[in-house]
Amino acid sequence: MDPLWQRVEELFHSALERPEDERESWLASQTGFDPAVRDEVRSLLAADRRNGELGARAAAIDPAIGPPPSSRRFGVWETGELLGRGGMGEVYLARRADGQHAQRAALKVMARSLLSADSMDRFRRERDILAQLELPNVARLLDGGVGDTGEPYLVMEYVDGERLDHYCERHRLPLEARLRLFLTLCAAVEGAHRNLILHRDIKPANVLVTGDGTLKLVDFGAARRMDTGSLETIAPMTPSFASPEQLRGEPVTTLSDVYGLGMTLYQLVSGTLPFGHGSKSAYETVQQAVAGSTVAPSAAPGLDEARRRGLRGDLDNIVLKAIAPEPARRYASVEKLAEDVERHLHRQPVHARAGNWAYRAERFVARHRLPVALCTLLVLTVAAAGVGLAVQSRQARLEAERSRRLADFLTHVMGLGFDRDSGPFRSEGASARVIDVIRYAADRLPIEMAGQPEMEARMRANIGHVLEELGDTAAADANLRRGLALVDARRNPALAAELTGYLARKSFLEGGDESAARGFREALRLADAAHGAMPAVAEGVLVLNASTMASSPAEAAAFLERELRLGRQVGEASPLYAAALFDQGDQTFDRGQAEEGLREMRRALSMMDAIQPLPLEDCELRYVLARKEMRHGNLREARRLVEQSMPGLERALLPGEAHLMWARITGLDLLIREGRFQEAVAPLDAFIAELSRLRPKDRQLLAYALLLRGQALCQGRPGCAK
Amino acid sequence: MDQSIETGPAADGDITRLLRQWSDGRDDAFRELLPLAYNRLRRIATTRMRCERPDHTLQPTALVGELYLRLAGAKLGNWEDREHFYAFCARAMRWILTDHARARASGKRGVELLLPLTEDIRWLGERAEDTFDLDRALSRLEEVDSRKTRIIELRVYLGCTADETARILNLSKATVDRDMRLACAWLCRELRPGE
Repeated sequence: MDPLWQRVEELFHSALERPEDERESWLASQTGFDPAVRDEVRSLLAADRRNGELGARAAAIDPAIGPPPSSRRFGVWETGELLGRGGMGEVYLARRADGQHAQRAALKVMARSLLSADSMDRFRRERDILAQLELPNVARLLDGGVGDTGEPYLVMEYVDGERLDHYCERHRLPLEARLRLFLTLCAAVEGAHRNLILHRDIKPANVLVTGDGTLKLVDFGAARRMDTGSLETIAPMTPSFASPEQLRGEPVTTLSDVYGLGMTLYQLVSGTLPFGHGSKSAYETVQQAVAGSTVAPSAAPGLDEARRRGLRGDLDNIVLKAIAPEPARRYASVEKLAEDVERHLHRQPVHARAGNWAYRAERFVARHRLPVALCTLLVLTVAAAGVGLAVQSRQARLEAERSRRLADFLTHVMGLGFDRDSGPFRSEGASARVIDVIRYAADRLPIEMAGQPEMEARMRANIGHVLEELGDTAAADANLRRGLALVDARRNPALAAELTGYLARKSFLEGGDESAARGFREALRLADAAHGAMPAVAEGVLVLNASTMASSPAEAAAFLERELRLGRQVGEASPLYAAALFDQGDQTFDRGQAEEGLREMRRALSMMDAIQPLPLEDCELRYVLARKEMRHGNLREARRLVEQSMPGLERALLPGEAHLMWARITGLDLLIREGRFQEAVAPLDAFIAELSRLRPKDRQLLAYALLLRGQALCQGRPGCAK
Repeated sequence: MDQSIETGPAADGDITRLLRQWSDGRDDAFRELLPLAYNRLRRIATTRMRCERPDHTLQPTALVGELYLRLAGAKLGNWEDREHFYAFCARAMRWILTDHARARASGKRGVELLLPLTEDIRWLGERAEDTFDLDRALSRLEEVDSRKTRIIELRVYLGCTADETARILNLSKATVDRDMRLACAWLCRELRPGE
């Protein structure tokens, strides 16, 4: 360090020990120091004083560190009457305690019980966001901070008004006046969007109308800037008004506000909500919102005939388009929604058309990429490969031999089980017997593999995966977890990756998308940590399964590339490679090149047929292809494929297994598309009943079934959405 | 993607090695370390910067501790490495925030990341250009007195207390306090020259 600087430091601190008004003269007396050093210290002492002054000023204007006020005082504000209570806290009428203005304000205090890091953060965000927002129909933010008792508070322009819906009802506003108010609301939301701010909790209770008819949007409690990235997606919201993507905890966009506006419009014009009212549980609300089995506003209960007539057609369509479960089906912006309402008011044709059920079903299913399952054969190949790598000592070789025999045994048993005509289990519920055999094997593992935890883990992985693929989730879970407990992830990351991947797939097939994604990420991380020690086939299966969590085409493409590479590594005539090629076709299809995609998938299927794996893979690929053919309108081909695959799946899989259910619903969807509505209703009811019994967590499949059921019922009757 | 920590290329040992190299003064080790923790630190930065006081709710030091555990693994929980890691994170935060301020200044939209304030420099962050200016001032301070730069980094960017700072830099608390006082005066002179 510079010796001069050292002297500066020394002198600076000595000076600080003197009283402030003596420092200057003391410094002048220190003639032993270089004048330059003294000048520097003088300047730094001045800066030190300035630092203190600026700090004090900052503290004074910051309510967070203000002097402690008495009773219910927040900064310069004094609370009065309690105006309301919400999810985030309480709202009081407030006025400035220092008498500077007679201004009345609404002061929102966050409940202390909610003082988590997250909600505190949200509270601050609300303040920061609103401070930027100056729009005629949005309540202004006046102040905000943290009270002396640590409760954060916001002070907003007090709007002496009435909830939008109550206002409309009390004044018995005609439809047109309601629509005009709604357009003002749209303009306010649009203004917020232009400022890159989402509201996220738009509902009539957050829209107030004052005595002179001015509308104000309040409570940006759930608001978020659009550009802050996906820091969090779960926000406080009102289930009945929250969009399906919000309910699912997915990223929220301007289209979620379009949804909130649509629901508000629904209530304004019909006096009720399509779902989520009455005694329904939040769960049911979610189901209905996700399924989009929405009653048109004109069909809402309790409307008189004149109002019904006013809503039927355009307004029904506008509302239904705004509250479509898939964001992509909604209006692309608030502006577009407002434009259609405007067009309706001017009796011009609106852009919203009747919700096209077939299209919706298609989109719904398009989002759902079921992994191509390659269970049995691959698992057993993996078993052999894994054992091969583990062989080191003579003892280990003996153990390996034993487990290989077990693997052979399983292959044999399962092969017999799946063989359609000649298996010994043919006449008496083959799959149950296969399962019994595997369960028996699992029970024997601790004995067979005594003292060989790694071997046992290896076999648990195989057995667990097979059990899962056959639909015995509970036993699969137990085996996989037991395996995971036996394996040391640091010593053998490859095996841990495999087990973790199978567990994630189990979550996926159960419908737990988030836990599945977490699991897959962890498994992929472990696979990387294995640095090539993971057999290509095992890694291939993992990547194939994990690819279902891809959230963008780019990500899916990256997975695919890895699948193809690993597939080639295993062999061009391997089921893995065929599956990867099938996935390639799947992605081509989803990119919009349907014909080419179908061709690729058909080719991959015939490859798989030529390899002749166990029949299960075959059946699964068949129904997945059937879905694509169906979506492309090749109903006859789709029907043929479904019918080919069903017997094999039914024989091999336990009732309620994911693939089996998806294959079944594909058949039911086909009925609808073939126009056989009457025929579809009863099987759909049975399907839904079975689903809630066997796969209670599978919201996606349930939503799909409900959608189809609504369609089956509606198509038979006039007046329903076409 | 909650777990977007890039653990890929660097094995556990690498982090420790790089940390040691960096704290021994090898500056290029910083560039190698940064990608390992970038995403998580960026997240800490954005969540952090929305609250304006370091004493509320979010504790970056705790978050950084957790990050260290996830990056390096408990088995490397050598206390010294851990301390180096805090110092590194403070430097990385400085880099991230300054980079962000630069992007904003050049017209790219983004959240306004406010500096976390220590009680010692409350006025810091009142001006939009403070983030940027602070970085430049610290670079100048570094030439005069690198220890004080480290202290400021820990206190301002990571919200460390004086005690934590003393432990991380292996100094007495009295030294940290003295250094802080002088450094604050120095910064005040640089950022708020005689008005």
